[in-house]
Amino acid sequence: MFTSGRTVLSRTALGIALAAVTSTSALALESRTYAVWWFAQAVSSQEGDCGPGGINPKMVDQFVPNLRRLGYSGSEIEKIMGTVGGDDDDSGGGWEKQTLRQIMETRARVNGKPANAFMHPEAVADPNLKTVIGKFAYGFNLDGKGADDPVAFQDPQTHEKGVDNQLFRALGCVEAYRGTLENDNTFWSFMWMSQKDTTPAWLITLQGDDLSKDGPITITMTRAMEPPRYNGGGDPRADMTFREDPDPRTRGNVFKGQISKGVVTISEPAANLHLMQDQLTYPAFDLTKFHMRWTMGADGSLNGLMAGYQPIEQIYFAIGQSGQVREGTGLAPELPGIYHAMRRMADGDPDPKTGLRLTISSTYHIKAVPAFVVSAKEMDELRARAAGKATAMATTP
Amino acid sequence: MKRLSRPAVWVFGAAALLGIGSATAGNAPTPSDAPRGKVHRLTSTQYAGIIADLFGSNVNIGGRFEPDQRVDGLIAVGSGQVSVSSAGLEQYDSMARSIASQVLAPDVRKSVMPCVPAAATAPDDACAAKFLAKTGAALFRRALTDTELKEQVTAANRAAVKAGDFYTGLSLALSSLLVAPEFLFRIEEVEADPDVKGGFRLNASSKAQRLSFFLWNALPDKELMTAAEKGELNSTKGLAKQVDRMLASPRLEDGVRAFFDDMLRLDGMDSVVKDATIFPKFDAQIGADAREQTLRTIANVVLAPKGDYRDIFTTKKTFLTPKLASIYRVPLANDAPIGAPDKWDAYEFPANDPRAGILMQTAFLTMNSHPGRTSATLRGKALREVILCQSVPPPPANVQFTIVQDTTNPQYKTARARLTAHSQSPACAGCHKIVDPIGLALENFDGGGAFRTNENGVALDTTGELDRVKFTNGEELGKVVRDNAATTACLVQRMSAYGLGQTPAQGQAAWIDGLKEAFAKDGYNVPALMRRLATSPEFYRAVSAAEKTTSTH
Repeated sequence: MFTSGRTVLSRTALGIALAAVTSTSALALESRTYAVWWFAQAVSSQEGDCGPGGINPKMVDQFVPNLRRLGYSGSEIEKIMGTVGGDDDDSGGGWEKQTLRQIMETRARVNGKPANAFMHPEAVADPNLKTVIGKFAYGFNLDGKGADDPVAFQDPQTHEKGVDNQLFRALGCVEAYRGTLENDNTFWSFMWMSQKDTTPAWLITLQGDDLSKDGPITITMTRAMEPPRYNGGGDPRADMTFREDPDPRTRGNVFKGQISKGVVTISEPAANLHLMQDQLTYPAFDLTKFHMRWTMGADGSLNGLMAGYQPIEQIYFAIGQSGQVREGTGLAPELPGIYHAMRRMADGDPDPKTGLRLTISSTYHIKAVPAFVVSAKEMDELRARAAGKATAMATTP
Repeated sequence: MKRLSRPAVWVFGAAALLGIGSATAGNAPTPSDAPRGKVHRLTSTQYAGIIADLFGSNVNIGGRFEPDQRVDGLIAVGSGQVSVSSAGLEQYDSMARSIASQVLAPDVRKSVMPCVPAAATAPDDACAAKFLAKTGAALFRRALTDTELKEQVTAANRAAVKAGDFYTGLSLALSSLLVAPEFLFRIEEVEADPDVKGGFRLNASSKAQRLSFFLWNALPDKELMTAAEKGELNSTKGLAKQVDRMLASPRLEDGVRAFFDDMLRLDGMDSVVKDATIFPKFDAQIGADAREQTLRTIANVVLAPKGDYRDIFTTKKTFLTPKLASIYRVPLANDAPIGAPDKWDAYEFPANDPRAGILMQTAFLTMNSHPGRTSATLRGKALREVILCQSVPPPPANVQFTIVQDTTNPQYKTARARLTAHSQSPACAGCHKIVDPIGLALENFDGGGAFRTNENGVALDTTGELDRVKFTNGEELGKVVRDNAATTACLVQRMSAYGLGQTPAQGQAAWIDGLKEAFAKDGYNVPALMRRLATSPEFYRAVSAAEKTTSTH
């Protein structure tokens, strides 16, 4: 017997059984699991990609135009703005003044009455934020139009034309959403850093005959119970074991794909991804026409892009959830404007009745490290076996 | 404030206490060359354990202990050769005051006070005496003498008058006990042995102490103390009864762990540092976990029914935390609530896994490596010295380490190549010949404990031999070590020294040899060996200073 009698039997049984489960499951196919430890919008900002005048103004510079759109006269605006903090204060000092704060917060109009602008961004007059006019964006030819698509980009990595990434176009001229793959933008970096220790990890499992060679594979994405773990230096900790979240909403993401020269791509033209994420970011994360381009690194990592059409409401929830706080800190200046920009740029899934585009082509950048996964079913089996042995032990004279 | 403890003069060394350890009055007259009892400073673990036993595990020890000293491979032996510096005494004093104030804090003292003072604002000698007699007896491992108790009660009285608070007075008396040499040192007293003409043995309370610290690494419990007071430990039957009781106790695991922690020098894990850019998974927590893993592995083997000590070098069974499992790159289902601290799980490496035994665990591998690379030499040396009780000479003063340190030299891509080149020097060759072949067998495990198959792109050659027995990899090395006669002989040697608190004397060589034979007969069962030691009269014999010690190296 493994234990000396001084060790909790259930733990003993669990460890042994797990070894057995994992070894038998690897008999036929090679399987590798990765834990996603970094997630951000994939951006490729370049000098001049917002046209003359550069990027959109900061929030403090949006006050006067907003007041004008609300119908305030010049003298009224002058009076209201006179209550704002120092002129050089672009970090939201003006929000301390109740009058302007209230006006901005309730700048939506519902049935002619002031309403919360962040709850009803569609009811705020569109400030017509500038959008990206540059040539390059990361992503995929999601709509199949290819180079003929007049609003499509060219991918800076693959040089493929006809790339659909309207989310980058919509947000790319707002300062907090500008960056590169090497230097992810401020907003998504902030979001990830503030939630990485509590957000359950996404898991990616690749399965095939020989993952070191080109060939067809099965790609599975699911969510773990545990968040990713990190080393002392802050880098992701590889080779941790994760329990698969039994929530049925995180299951079903099984796709046909292939490996070619160490790059993982999907074979299905119309796959849909549905995952759960952090309650405060994306309670649900959906991509239709799911695509990916993940590179299997020599160090065992899996890094790259994933894309598809994402519901605008999901994205707006992630960005706009904190309303005025986000506007004030510069993480999401002119939130209703951002909403309108996404609406204007939306290019997927038209509503059959209204024709309104409900989704927008989006590309995300992920980084993942090798991991082990214990499926929910395996976990249940192991618990049952452990409980059975413990019961037997307890009843043994 | 007036110091209540004994004059600080005792801090000049254990030697000052030797008078206390000499043959006790009431027995046969002591010849001038009669053996004296040993005096051992409590180790930090023992100190903390005693405080937890007496006052509860919530008491924060704080402070910094004086470093322990390892002699002949054991802190247990070194603790008999250290004293307390003035700076160390300040630390003990600071800890004592802190502990006393915690123990007698208003919301805690109910659990330790045997009485309630007549008035909390005035002295109560009767109540103070009750507490101090009870606590003092536990701390000193013997009853306080009338004089000692009177001194402490008087001190508590005076301080209570001055402070206008009974508990302040008592707290000062308690802190005085906590810095007393009788607490900080295990003082063994000897008496004439009525069964051996001219011989001396530990007296009953000292026997109880030795026995308890050996088997449990803790103070004698009430039953053992009572048996000692009744003289039962002086009879074969009475002693065996107590030994068997203690061996059957769950506390035996504490004693076994303390011994192996000392023998394997696992305290060294406290100071293991790794280059985070090379071994990012290794952090302070891993160091502590690795130490614990090895101790759990050993306890699981040697405390199992008919457990065979040798199996610690080949067992596939161990215990892991999630972070440790990531170093071993094995899956570990941890059924803990989300966000809960990491828990330990039993784990068995699959048969085809290259790891087996404690030599391939993170503790041994990382402790005997450099911060940024492996060291076949350190690993081989540790195996020779720690596991086989052999001696490896230090390197010559003018040794050149350039070749072995440069892991980027394209000419020498592996540790074997570098060591081969380094060992061309005749001054180095001799020692490297005896340690490197062993250490190179473990080259499949990098300086952070992770498995690897090559170094700088070159496949690793892990073949070698130990005492003319060949092996091809670490797992086979473990088997060779398991079956090496020196392995079990070393265990007997070390465990004897550990229990005795000193390297066995030359006159005890035959006894040690007998134990080695018995260890084999007992199937290399550690508790059986502990029983043979603890029930042997030789274990309690007072050895005179004139008797020479055997060399374990």
